[in-house]
Amino acid sequence: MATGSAERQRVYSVSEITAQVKGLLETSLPALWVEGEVSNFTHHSSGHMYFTLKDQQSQLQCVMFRRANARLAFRPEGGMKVRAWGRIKVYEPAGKYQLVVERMRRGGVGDLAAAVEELKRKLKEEGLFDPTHRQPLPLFPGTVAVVTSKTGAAVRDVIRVVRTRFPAARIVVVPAPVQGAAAVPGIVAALRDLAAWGGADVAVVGRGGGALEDLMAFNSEEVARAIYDCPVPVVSAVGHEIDFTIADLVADARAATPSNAGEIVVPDREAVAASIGAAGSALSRAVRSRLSRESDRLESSGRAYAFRLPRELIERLAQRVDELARRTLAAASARCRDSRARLERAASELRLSDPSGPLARGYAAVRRITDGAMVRSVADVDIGAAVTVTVSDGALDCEVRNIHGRGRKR
Amino acid sequence: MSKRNTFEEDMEKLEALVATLERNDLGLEESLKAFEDGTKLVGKLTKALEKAEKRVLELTRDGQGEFELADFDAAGDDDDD
Repeated sequence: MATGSAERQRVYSVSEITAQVKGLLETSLPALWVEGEVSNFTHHSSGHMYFTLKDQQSQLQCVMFRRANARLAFRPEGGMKVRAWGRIKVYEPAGKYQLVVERMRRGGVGDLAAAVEELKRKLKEEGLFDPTHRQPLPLFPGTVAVVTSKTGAAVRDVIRVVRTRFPAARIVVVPAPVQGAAAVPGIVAALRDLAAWGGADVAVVGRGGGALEDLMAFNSEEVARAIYDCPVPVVSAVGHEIDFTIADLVADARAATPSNAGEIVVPDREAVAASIGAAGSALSRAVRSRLSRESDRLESSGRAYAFRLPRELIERLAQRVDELARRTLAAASARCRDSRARLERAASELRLSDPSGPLARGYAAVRRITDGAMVRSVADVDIGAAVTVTVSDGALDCEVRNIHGRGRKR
Repeated sequence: MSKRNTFEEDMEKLEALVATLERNDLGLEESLKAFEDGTKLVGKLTKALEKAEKRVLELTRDGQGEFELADFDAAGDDDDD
């Protein structure tokens, strides 16, 4: 009876029941996150990844196809705690159900942040964030390198800002994937190329914003070390304003966004033009003051100068200075000649006033002995007065015996 | 790199000339010379500043693995960020 009833029941083929299970499972379960520990991990030569997720009680077979795992920011390995997102599918040839993983994160998000913090501590201890290691950015970079995805918004933002602010700068893009498993080796290789090439004065390394797991390349030890080792000053530009990535901490300067990086790496042309102009004005002001001091010195009572166009002015002033110099020299020698003439005049006056001349010609000088006063008139002496008569070669003491003349007024 | 050096060096030279002139301890002739040199630098720097790079380049490698600069072509899918 039982047998007969069993025989009356519908008998499925393996394929039929497998198809039913597949239909039931795949339609009733949405795409979902599964958390577990990786085991039996194999990265097949086809590029697909096969592994098991397990917890204390159960196991779940997983596959992550090449297309999906190319975007992984880390390399899964046994024992690693992950969160995998995907759909449960039935693999009919093996009669197995498995999770087809589309995306996978390392640990929970909390674990990820903890891992970043841990790495930060480690690199800080090693001195990678030491401010003394930071290189100053060039003030006027001739060439700005941009290490980022060729196709992202970041490269366009940097290009736009740099060209607007400082068009004289050359921009060289060094393409690198900025997310997925290729990002870390790609950014590291781009930074090494940049260093080997040697043509850049400053580099912007970054990408637009994203969730923490999208920025993992900029939190990786390898990228941190590549930035640290880069001989070209690096500005990090990871569009993630809340937290600093490790790249931000190790870079020579940090920009909040790629546009902001453009503002940091090049000066504003207008500002540079203004400072060049200011230097020019300072030059002419200084030389004018120099020349005007010169003029003042040479011609202290000279006319005030109206200074206008520097070059013409300088030529005019240079000429003026020459002229002033010449005039000063001439004046100096004229003064010399004057002095000589005055001396000669004085000398001749002195010669004229030399009393020895008249005495030599027979005249005599008479002084009263009593007071030494010159006797210029008969009225200056009385009869009997003693006088000294000086002649050319000596003096005679005499007494006035008689007085002749036109009468005595006294 | 030489380009950066030129512009930066010229800026530094110009600043140094201004500082020297402003210190006012040069002879008259040196002052005029400094002024003339400085004026030349102002012209040179202004010209360099007005120059505009028309192209954006991309660092690539040729068949021998040597670096070369190609015109940057940003066309492509905007998928990375």
